Amino acid sequence: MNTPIDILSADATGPAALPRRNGELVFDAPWESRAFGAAVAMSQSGMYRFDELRDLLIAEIGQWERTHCSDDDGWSYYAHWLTALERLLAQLNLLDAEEIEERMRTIARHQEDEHGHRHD
Amino acid sequence: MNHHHTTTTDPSYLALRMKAVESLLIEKGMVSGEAIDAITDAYEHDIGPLRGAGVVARAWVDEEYKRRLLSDGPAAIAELGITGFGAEVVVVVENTPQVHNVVVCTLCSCYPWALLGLPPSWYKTPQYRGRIVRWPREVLAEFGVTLPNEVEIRVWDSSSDTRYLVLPQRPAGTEGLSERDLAALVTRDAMIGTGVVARPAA
Amino acid sequence: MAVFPRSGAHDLGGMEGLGPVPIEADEAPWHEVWEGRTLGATLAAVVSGMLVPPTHRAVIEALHPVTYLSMSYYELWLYGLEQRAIATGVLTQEEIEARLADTLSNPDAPIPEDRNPAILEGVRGLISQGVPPGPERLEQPPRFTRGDVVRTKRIELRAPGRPHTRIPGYAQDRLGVVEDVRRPMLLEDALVASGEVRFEHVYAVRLRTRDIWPDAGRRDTIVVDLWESYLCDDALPAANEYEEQP
Repeated sequence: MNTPIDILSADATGPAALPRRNGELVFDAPWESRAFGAAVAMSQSGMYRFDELRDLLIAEIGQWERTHCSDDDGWSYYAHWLTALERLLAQLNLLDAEEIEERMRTIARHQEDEHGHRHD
Repeated sequence: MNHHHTTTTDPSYLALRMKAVESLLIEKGMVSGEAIDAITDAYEHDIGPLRGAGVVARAWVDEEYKRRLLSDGPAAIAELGITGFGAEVVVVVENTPQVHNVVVCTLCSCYPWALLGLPPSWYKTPQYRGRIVRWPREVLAEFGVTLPNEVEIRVWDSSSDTRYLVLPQRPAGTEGLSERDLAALVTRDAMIGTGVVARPAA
Repeated sequence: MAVFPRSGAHDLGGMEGLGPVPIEADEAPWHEVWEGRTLGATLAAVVSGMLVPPTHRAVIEALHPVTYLSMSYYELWLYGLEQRAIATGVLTQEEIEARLADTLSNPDAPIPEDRNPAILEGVRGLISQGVPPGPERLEQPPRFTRGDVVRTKRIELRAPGRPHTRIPGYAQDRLGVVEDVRRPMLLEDALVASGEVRFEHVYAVRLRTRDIWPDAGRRDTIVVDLWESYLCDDALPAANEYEEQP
């Protein structure tokens, strides 16, 4: 229930289906594949069952669909994936929203430094 | 010098650059000096807010005209001989005690040229364009206009070919005035919505 | 803080930190002669048929925000005129630079006198008659009618597929009510993206300002003209539900 093949084959056509092109998974940016990879690794290690994540993902997507046009350019599957993952980790008391915010700020500052000033 | 733009480019350089471009475009048959003169003359001298003021005054004195104006702007202003660039698709919006209208083009500077002439510089600034949709009361206060909180401020963002003209409220104390005298009271800002027509001095 | 995507440097509605409006009473239509000539040349080029795309707006909107905000209004127009001339093959960058160098070293040299009656007449017609609006109706009737609740879309600009749009960022992903149905108009988005001439129904959509910026006046509204492809009727609340929202 938690092996990669389970995850990859789950809900091939439902609302929470992983985006594919010609059968292959599609990631529009590196962060998306990292989000996918992190979720797979954590579920494999037993932190949670994949269907717990999937249920939250379906809820996230449902909420989006109730408040957006179906062809809205803002749609991002992996943004919902990430939100669902954060929700799940918070529910399991493994991570909380504040920690995520703080870490994001640190990363953003680090990225600014990288682009603005070279560190040797 | 009285510049309200933030350009860092020297105006005399821009004047010479424009001269270079104009001379090239003339050689390519794309423009002529006369054609450019015709445009600058028209908008410096002939076309201005007096046209719009005449429309407003007519609407104030003639209820039937007002009805036509609000339902078909281009046809009604054509009755007064007004047609042209910037008023092909004009919609007139009426101020009432409940609703105060004000016009902007947040994306560029669209404006009813054929009715009001060229827009004032402030209309084209990021300050006006950015703030009037979000802080209309603060911006109107900068123009000396304050409105009670119960009044709805309706901001019309000219994002399409539609050009908006505000029909301001007729002030009290103007009952006896001729259409011409009424027109003289109507300011350009009142027809954009950043002003109201003042009651004439006693 | 309300954060929404902007459609470009020019998409200023709701932007923070702008400061008071610089108001001059009774100023002239332009401050410098060259500004009037820039306006005149731009309109004359419309009449003489300088090709589109790119459009004047699309050229200017592609500027970096810092550049856009630091150029004066007519400087932007001159930039637009030059870039359109280059993009449509009327002038080359080299020609402009060569002529500019000549003019800078010979500032008082006269401009060539070249009468062009057709352009002169065209310009007079443009001023007095304007540009003929598009068709009064389309084969497909308007999808929406006055009073309909509608939803606006997020329209993201990703070059080269969608370099231009006329839905401001603040108006995207909102619920609104159709205030009025406008006549069909050219969708400049499609023209700029691919040269396609496409007309769509346009709607004046009334938004509640407090839906966008929660501290806005309770009664205040914004009416923005939106093309049909900017709207949808997915996931709409019932009209009375929308009206009753606090």
